[in-house]
Amino acid sequence: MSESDLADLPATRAPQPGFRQPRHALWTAGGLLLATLAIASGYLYLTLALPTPAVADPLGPQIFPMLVSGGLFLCGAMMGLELWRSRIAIRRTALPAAPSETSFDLRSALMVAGITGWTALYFFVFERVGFVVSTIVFLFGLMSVFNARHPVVNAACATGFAFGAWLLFVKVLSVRLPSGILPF
Amino acid sequence: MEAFGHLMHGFAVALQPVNLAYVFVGCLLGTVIGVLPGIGPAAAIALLLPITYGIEPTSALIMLAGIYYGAMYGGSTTSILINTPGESSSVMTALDGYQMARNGRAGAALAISAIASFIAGTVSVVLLSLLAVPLAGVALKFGPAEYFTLMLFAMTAIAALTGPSLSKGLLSMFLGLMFATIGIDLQSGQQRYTFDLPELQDGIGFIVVVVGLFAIAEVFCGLEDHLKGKSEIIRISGRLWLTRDEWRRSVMPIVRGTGIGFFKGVLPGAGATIATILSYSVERMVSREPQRFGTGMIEGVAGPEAANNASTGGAMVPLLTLGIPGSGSTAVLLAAFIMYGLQPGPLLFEKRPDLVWGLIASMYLGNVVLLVLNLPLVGVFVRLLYIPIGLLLPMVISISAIGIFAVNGNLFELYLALGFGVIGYGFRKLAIPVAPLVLSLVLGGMMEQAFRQAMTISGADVGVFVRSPICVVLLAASVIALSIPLVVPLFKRSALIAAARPAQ
Repeated sequence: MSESDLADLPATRAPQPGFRQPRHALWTAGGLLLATLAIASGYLYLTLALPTPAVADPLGPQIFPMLVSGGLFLCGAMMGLELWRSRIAIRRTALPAAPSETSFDLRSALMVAGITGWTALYFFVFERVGFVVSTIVFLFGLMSVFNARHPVVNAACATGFAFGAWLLFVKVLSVRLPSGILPF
Repeated sequence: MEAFGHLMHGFAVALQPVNLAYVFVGCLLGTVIGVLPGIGPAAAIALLLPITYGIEPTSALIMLAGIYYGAMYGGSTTSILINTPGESSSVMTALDGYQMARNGRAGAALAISAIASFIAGTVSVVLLSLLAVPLAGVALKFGPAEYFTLMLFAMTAIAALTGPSLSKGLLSMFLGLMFATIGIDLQSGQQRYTFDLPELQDGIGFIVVVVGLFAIAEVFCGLEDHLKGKSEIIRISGRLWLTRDEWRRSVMPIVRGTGIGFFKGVLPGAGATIATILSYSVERMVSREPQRFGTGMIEGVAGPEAANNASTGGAMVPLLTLGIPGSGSTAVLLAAFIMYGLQPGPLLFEKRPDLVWGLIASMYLGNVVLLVLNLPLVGVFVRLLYIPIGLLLPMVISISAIGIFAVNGNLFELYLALGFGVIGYGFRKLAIPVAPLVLSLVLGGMMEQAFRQAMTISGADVGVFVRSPICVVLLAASVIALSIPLVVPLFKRSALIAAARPAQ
């Protein structure tokens, strides 16, 4: 991290000096704008569909969510304005586009999807198979990908962690964890 | 004098052997977890919450405060050694701390970080003790309208000041409020947005969201960096202690950082982050060698570290006296209070003085424990960083699963946390701040109740929110907070134009 990072803390996507914002940054911003408007519309639709009770509350359960959906639409409007200004700035500047620092790339997306899927599977069998067995398999699988060259260390760490955590939480701290197929 | 008497009573509680042990264990665990790359105080508290189950509330909260302090210090360690701040408030420490480590002065950077944290933390707890009673008295004058405007101010300030763009900060805030409305409406008993899922009737658990947004998202980011070969570890080298010159240069930055940190910490919003930025800017401004900042100047570590830890004491002022957290980490602490059936605020001072003052007294002890623990054990904690990322981060997912499952034994919450992990990863990639979502999720329910109570009392007259001076001041403060991100760039542009003119 350099001194120049001070200017755009905490973590902006502002282009480096001498460069303009790359065009894919606009597509990302446009996607976020559309997502915001979709969420706001969906939330407003669900809010309007809420039944209003005849008694108890003069304002009803809809009033606050309606204000929140109004706020979400306002965010969408502000993002639209920022996007419009960025487009104009890109059109007017003669600077070259900043080198691609795109946050999303296919490899990362596949990695996140893979971990999410593997973790979802872990959670699916968490109660059925039990904490110890599911955790050993889950950890060994993930460690085998991200610490690939050390299968023995991975197996030892996965097993040691699962049993260690089980002892600490179940036996020492009386936290309930599923035992599953194991008798203890 | 009243505060002194309460504090002495608090020490009697905190000095009980069992509570003393919890302070020690909390600080130790907080530091150990906080040292792990990317795990900040909020995630550390959320992950370690299950450990406090079954413990008496006073002891549990004392331990959680220790975890908070420990994790704050642990985060600084990762900033200095691997240039990975646990949360935004440790970013400034990384600027010169990491360079010091690269210059072979990692030991000195860690030592000054511990000493500055100790001094600033202790001073801020003294100020907290002095301010708590008068502020709690003021808080008793708050009605629903005042509470609504106070919460509005806390949320808008954090939304406006934590992210790169106002719209993204507000988006995060409104999404948090949206998630807060899921579940049974307390006033009418009406189910909202539950899609007939019984698991959603009680709303989305706070721990689920925090663990997902902070811990699981961090695992995704950490493994991504690991895959791309971005995670670099600096080995400690050189003398571990400070030289006489480094001591001399650190004294005033610690003093200035403490003052800045405490007063910024009291204000809701990005208290600690802004405090560290301010402290760093002040040190650079008063330095004779401002151009050397960013190359390993000890002033750039001492000042922000003091500001960071002083702000933790400052942030406890609104949390304890008003029940309003000023940051993501204190929001997690508020959730812990609520989990134990306690509502922080002025009434807690009256109903449970043993708990409040025991907690405050434990913070004094926590600062001492941290210093005693961290100075000799710097070398040991650093070894944690040598655990390969590929082994460490998968374990974080399992710890997260334990933390969530232990609360309700509910598998659905595990899936929800995973979903929030993906959302948190997306937020980081899109530079959307997470703190406003967390804060508004915690405060959302209370905010809606305050809003509806105020409106019901006034006969649906919106004017109720501008009738009391407290409301007017808080609304004005909200407007000012919202306008800061809009106005500051204009000033910057004018300054740039003015600077360019003489050159032409």
